[in-house]
Amino acid sequence: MNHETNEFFSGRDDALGAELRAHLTSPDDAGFAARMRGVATAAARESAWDVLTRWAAPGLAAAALLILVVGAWLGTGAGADPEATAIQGTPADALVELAGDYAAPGGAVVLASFAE
Amino acid sequence: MTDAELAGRAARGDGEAFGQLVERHALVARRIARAALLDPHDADDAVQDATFSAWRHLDQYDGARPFAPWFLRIVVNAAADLRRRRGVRRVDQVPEAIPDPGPSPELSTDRALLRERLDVALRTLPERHRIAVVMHDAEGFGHAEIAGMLGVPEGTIRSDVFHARRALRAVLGTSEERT
Repeated sequence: MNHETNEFFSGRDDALGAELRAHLTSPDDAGFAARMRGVATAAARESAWDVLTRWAAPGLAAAALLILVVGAWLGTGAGADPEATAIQGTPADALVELAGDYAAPGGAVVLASFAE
Repeated sequence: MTDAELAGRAARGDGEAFGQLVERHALVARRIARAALLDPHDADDAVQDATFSAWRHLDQYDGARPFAPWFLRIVVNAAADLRRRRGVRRVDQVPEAIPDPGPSPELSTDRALLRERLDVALRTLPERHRIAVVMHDAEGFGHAEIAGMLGVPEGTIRSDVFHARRALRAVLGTSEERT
């Protein structure tokens, strides 16, 4: 085995590792760690409470819309008895005509039916 | 308190415990994200994204295993997502202008030069090679652990670390005999 092959299976290069660490380290590292702690705590709070808050506004809006739609539907009487609705919606003169149609037949008509 | 204890409390909804856990691993996460993205601001954004993601998926964390590899895997994925979202940036190429604040007064010229060369060298490496060599040589993770975090075979990680070291040493002007 040559040196490179050995190295392929060997442990870490501490000197290179130290150079890399120094290169990737910032003077504000301590502040960053504290900031990420704050982010993490906020993330935890967000998921518990803000999700509820986020859904509250659309939920209330949907409920209000539903109330309006149902109210309008009931207001137009769409849920009532169709026959009653038909009579309610009929103009007064049409009702007079209907009443005329149901007027008692004349005596000649009644007698004719008995004769048959 | 151990990572497992903190993770257990976090899983039961303890946000303070989760904050403590993230703080404990934030700097490793930052270095890995920087190795992946080569941009300090993007790296910090990726760690933040990963923190939110880790909280959302905390129920998937196996408390019997170490927390760091689980969290760092999320960091690596967050970095990849961030890169996709900001796809116009190609960090595998050597940029025209390397964002470098310049050497601080206490740094010698040689030290500053070394850091600059290391920066250029890292930018010539593929992303996975950079992550692998930083995880292995700078952070002390084993090949198998890194393979698990990156979702590739262990042999691939060995190869990545090997090639990354060779490239970095060539640029830094150091010998192969350092191991």
